[in-house]
Amino acid sequence: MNMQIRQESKPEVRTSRRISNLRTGLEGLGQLGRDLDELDHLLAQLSQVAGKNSAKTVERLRKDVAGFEPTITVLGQVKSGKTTLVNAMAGWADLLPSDVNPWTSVVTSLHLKPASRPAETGASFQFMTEDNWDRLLNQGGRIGEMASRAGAESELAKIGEQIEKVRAKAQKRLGKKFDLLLGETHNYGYFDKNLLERYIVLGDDFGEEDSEQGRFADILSSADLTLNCDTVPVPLCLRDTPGVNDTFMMREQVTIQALRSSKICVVVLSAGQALTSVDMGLIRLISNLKSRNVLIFVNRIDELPDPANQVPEIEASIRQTLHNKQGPEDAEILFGSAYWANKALSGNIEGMPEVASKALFDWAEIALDQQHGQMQPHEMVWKLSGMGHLYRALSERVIEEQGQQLLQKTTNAALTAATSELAAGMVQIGAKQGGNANLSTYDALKEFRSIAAFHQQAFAEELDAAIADYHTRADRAHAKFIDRALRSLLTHLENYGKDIVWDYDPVGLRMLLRTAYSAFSARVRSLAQARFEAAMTDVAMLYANTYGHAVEGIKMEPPALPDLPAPIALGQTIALDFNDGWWISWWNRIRGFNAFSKRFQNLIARETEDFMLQSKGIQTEQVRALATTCLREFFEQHDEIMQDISAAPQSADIEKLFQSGEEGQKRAQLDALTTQFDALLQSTMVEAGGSSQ
Amino acid sequence: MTAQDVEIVAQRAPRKPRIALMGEFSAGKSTLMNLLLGCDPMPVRITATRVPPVWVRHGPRGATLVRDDGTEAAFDGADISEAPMTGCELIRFSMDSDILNLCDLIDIPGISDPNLKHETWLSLMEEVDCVIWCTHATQAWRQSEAALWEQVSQQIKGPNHLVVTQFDKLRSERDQARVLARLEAEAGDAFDAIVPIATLEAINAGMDETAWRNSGGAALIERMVAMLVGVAEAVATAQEDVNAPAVEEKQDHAPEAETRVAASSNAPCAKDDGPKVVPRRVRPKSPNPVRPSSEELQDMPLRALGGGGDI
Repeated sequence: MNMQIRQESKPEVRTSRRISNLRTGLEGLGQLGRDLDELDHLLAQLSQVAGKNSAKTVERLRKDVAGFEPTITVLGQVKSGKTTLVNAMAGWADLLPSDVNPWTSVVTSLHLKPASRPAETGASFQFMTEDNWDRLLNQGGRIGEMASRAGAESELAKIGEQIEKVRAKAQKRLGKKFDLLLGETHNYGYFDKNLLERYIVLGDDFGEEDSEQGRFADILSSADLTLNCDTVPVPLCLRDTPGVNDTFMMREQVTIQALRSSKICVVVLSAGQALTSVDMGLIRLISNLKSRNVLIFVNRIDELPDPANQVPEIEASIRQTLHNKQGPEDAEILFGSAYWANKALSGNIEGMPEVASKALFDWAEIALDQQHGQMQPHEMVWKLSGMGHLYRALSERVIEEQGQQLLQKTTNAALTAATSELAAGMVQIGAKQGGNANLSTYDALKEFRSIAAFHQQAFAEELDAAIADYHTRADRAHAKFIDRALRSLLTHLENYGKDIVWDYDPVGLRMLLRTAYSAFSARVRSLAQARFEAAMTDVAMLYANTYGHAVEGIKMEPPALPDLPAPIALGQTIALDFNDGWWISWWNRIRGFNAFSKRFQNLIARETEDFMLQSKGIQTEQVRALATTCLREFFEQHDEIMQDISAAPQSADIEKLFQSGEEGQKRAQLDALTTQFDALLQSTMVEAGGSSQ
Repeated sequence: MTAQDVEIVAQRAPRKPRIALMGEFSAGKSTLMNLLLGCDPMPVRITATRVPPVWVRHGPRGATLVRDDGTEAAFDGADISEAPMTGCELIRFSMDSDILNLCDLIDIPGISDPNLKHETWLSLMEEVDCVIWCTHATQAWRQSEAALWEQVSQQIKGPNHLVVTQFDKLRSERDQARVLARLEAEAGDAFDAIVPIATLEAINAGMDETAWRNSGGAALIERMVAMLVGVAEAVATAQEDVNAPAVEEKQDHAPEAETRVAASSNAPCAKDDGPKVVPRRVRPKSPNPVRPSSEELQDMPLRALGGGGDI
């Protein structure tokens, strides 16, 4: 049951016509793809000539390159056009099923494989575990509160009822199979419309009963499809979420839980009703991502009667609201129509309703210029759909956030591996020629390990101190916030009495905590830099002391600290965030003037407990793990290099090596590789510099 | 006549049923309002229109601002959208339009606008008899709507209608049927009827009767008139005065509270036992100015579209 492999012919033809500008916007990713391919090619060569231990490092690096798959999460309200957009981005008009009614209730990940690295097409469906059910029931997304949606205070109870109902229904339908399915994975070597409908389409409670449709949809936790995509130059994962603000709130829960692991998000709005309070709630939930990594795509401009004039108006209105509500003001806002994109993809641009084609012509007036005159009509439609701009914006972010980092880090590590391999040869030659080493290789390795232990220990202590400082600062901010809020409360009571409900925006607390967190991550960064430099200097000294001039050629870079996690926990709502329902009833329950301050203190302490725990505990642990892993990997690589060097061949072997010319060949190869790695590194630096301008 | 005079006259005037238009912002409330009034006093924009509730009643054209502190001031701006949002609780607007002979219309600010708090108009709901809830066809009936309606519907006697606007944006008959089926399943119990309308087509129909029917505009107007007649009939029944000539006069000696109780017999709770108000069943027993004949029902949209509201 767990593995069902069926090889079938490729699913339907995707595009009936070739669209020459399908890759517009992806040029940057194209360069990244070529760089990664070259890096992988060089690493493959290096692994041939590397010593036994270094080869492990090289294999790990190759795995890092192969595993590179930036993820883009597509979010928005139900029926804002997320699935249609995901299909358009994947270049396959009706890849994922969609409908006029909310349709899916799972997060579907499309793993797009570029032509340069094809993979087996397939689908994998993961069923819920008991844990998943629990999390859905108990970890409220609280987006309703964020959005001050009516009835938000009783939403959790309602969600609970809905989910229990779904579960009971599934249990009844599947009988004994239900328990067997929990936690299972179904894998297929293909996917088609029927299969997808059977697994991911929840459909609706009314209308014709289709026995196969949605058979498993309500107990699925995730769906993963792997497909080859000619458009993308690097592997990409597009995640389609069920959407928020549906009356079936399980969809919202599932969507919100997908946010945690998202680095780049596209929030899809509908042009006819851009940026509602629910969209704002969603944006607030992800507001602690770098605002640059939140893209707003205003979809459905095909439904606007007058896009040329209305698009600027909508944009101004969105910017104003983001400004008023302290949202990410500099978030990029893009306009387009996934409907047009899919029309272009399916080569069927003639059959559009009047409004959509009128809007198209209208939009073409301002979005196309002379140079587009040469285009085929369906290419123009693709251009007008805004997909190119979306691709470009996403490419830039993928490159900046993840691509450059991986390229540079991996190339640096490869350079170190290659040059130390060269040095190992030199050491061996040196040993044969009497050598000038001050330390025996055995002692050197011992010394190296004590250096490693020393630096890791010292770094751990430094991190401890930084975390402790952050805790103090966060606690102080917390105390200060409560104090100020309390004073404001008392002033309010003096001036207005308790008949007028007092509210106090916790934005101040968030600001203080966020500042404390930025100070903390800046400090971790500078600590790491200093420590990594010191570690590298010590290791370099040790190489020099042990092997003398032979190792001068080793190219060493201190490890680079990856991006520290954004303080997502600060996006969580607390009681003060919403001043309707819950808060008002709390306010009205409290009797007596003095009771207020005491109770208020307790309330805030209780409400912010999880909030503080998240940002003080869980988040700092993530930072610690990232930083220490970085240093540990650095030492591991050099440990392997040391071992390779010290595993010097017997003199007789070396004699033979030289006679056979093998060593000479290897050195020549390593020299060539080093030059190539160097060149790659230089060019990526130039690209990084270029793109940041 | 000063604004205050208008107010005094309005207060003495008979109590007409009050129909509020509600829904998400940009759901087409103002467009529908303009369609009902037969002219364009309501600002229509693609982004959220931020205007206080607008209470439209029959009378010489004029507008009054009601401030938070209860004071009033004449508002002579030509454009309602210029009315200040802060400090202003309500705009009273009077004009001449056929439908206003039958009822008052109240345009409630759209919900889900992040820049507005809905508390400002919640108290106004006490004054409202019936609601037309506008929901946009392509994103119809979301949680934000369902939750708010659940909250306010208890105090609305009804009958209430769910109007599915921009219905032509659903591109096939199958799609249209599917959306209606879902709405029936999810909101059928919360409303007396679900009425789709292709808003733009209805506006552009002009004198074209077929286009007007196809857009759903005709059905909507028929329903509204039937509903208003139903409300009036309920009042008459409650008074056991079948020959009451008109709602206006009847209400002169009918306490307001009684009117409301009577009206509530047409509320959703009456749906199970009482006959649902459907235009076809409405047959005037005697010539009655508020009870249009079937020809008048047909004429209604045309008059509503063509007449009234000279600016």
